[in-house]
Amino acid sequence: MAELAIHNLTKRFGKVTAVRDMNLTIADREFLVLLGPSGAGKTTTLRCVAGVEKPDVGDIRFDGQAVTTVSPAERDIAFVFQTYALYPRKTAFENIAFPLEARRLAPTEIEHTVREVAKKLRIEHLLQRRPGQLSGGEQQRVALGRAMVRKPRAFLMDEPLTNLDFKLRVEMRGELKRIHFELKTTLLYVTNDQTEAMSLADRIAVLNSGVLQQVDTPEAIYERPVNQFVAAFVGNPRMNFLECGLRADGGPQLIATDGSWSLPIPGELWDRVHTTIGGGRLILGVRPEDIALSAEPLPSSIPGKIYVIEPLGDRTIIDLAIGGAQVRVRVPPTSTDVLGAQLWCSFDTQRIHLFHPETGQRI
Amino acid sequence: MAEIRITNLIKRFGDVYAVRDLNLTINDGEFLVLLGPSGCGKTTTLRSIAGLERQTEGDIFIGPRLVNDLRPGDRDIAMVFQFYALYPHLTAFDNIAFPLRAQRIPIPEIEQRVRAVAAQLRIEHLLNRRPRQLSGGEQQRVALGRAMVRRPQVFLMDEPLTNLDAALRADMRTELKHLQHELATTMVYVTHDQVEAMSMSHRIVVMNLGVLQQIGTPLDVYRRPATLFVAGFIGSPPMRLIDGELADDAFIDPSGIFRLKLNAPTVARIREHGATKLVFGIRPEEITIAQETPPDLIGIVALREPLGDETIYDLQIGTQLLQLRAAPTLRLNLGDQVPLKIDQQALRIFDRQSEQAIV
Repeated sequence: MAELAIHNLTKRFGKVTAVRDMNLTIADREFLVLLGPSGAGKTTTLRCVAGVEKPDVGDIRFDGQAVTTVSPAERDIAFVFQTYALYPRKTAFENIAFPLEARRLAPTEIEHTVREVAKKLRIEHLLQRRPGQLSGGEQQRVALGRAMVRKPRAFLMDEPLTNLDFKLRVEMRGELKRIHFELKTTLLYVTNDQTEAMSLADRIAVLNSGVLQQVDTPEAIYERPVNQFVAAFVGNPRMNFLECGLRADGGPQLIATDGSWSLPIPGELWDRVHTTIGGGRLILGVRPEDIALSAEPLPSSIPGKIYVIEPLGDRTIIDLAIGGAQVRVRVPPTSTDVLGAQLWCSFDTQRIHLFHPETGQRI
Repeated sequence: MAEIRITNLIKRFGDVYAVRDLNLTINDGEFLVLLGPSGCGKTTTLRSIAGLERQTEGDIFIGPRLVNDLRPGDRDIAMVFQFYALYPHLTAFDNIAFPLRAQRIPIPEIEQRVRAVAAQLRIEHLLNRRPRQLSGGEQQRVALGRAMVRRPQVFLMDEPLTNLDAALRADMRTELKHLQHELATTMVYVTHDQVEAMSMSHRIVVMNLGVLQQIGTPLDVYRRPATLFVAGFIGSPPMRLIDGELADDAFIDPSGIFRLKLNAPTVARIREHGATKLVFGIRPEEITIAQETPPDLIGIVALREPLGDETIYDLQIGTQLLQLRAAPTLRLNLGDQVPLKIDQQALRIFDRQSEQAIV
């Protein structure tokens, strides 16, 4: 168990800067997820922490001690990948026991440790099987077990669930969270899957193009994204974005760039936006669940036409054409509206997000 | 545009049955999705319709024509694999025009047809660009345009969205569904992604191990899965399935700790059916927190997964686990005891032996 700190980390590959001046501290026993699209720099960051890559600038600290010159093996961490690399001829038991045997521990102690870990992973009944006789999820757990018996200071995981099918991935997500809860160990986890990040993490660090965007709890990232990138990357379906400007006559309001709709907003918000961007344009962000639909116009509702209806079983997503733009709205599964029909949407102005059109920063 | 009729289709590869006795009619203008895990026979079925595989037994009709002996090129279909296989050195216009030039159609007609397709796809302003000057979504539309321009009677698509990132995939789903609605061309679409199947199709055909499991509208298949396989395959998270039996008008698991009183019609249906080994199925949104006492069940919060727009809780009842889909505003803590109400109208009971739905 340890606190991991990434201090002023910059890593370049030739002319490409993979990670730019990153500062991030992962608390002891924390489950922190590095989230971003491919090329964001998350795997490079993880590899620097593991010691497999050497930083160009900055250092990595375990419990306050710089480990930059310490070899990967001596860092006492466990690295779990999406491929499990089990020994095919050894049983699950022997695979898990392997690191202990290398340390020449007494057989009774090995037996005890392996069984204890197997119990936590719920694979006690599988210990005599070879990898070929195990499902993907079971192999994954054996690989985890092999990492766990060493009692490392921290776990690093690079998209460990990517190769599993959907159902198993959802199941293993729950398992991983439960295992972390029991092990109480520091865990740094890389993924490009925002659902995985939301459901697993104590905190999420969102990266894009090598730059750290936001570090916060899943709820805070979802509720108050610091910029348009984070807002768009987290949430499924993603947040709707509409280009608009400010108007004062007829009360403080936002007005669509193409004039097709307007939305009254609180005067205090209007003032704040005006101070930031003057009379310029801005981006209105609203999540699909923060829009209500009605068959009749309501005060300050915006007309739209149904473009597509997507039933998902537990909910339905309706795509509406509003002027030249499109918004997705989440509604209960019972909705039976028809394509092309006219509806009115009301945005929850307590829950809208406003972003600067050039910098993308939250206003 | 055409109806597709498949009768008694069997496809064997050596001793292995890829498709077993499939009967299926795809309506004219329908968006039909073949859904299942890898190895379920969906791609083999699609390739048989396309003429890329010759079925071992059975007939395939496209419109009134029996197409068993027709080559793929003579079946008047457009097969789309992954969308963005565009020619990089050709402009969007030339990419779309390609199939028409191959058919030696006069130049003015090519021009007119490409522009008409581009208008439908809203890419008229991009026609002079090459693929690398286009975004991923724009490239997909060009690829779609190339399939549309031939005006085939049927579109066949094999996981065309697989290699796209999540956001683009969602956008393309919307576009494809809208487009199919406008064109009203019969579409047969293969995927292993249940979200794609649910969101786009008129009807879903669920397959497993070469055997058809269920045909129905997305909400039919979601609400009334015909088999245990369908119940476990559709929905995110999937339906929770618990083994047990009927005792004193209640469903109980082997430990006896999970015990749920069933309403009279459900009990009557199970008795009438006669099965003794049962599987109980419930979806995460069909469980709510009970207001009245006594509750149907009491669960202990074992896991909390916040997803932003909702939170999924794992609830432990004895050795069983149920999942609860809750609004993000509901805050339960690990270890909390939660009184639960089960929607008796929504729950499902399956026969463990036949794996078919009883209720």
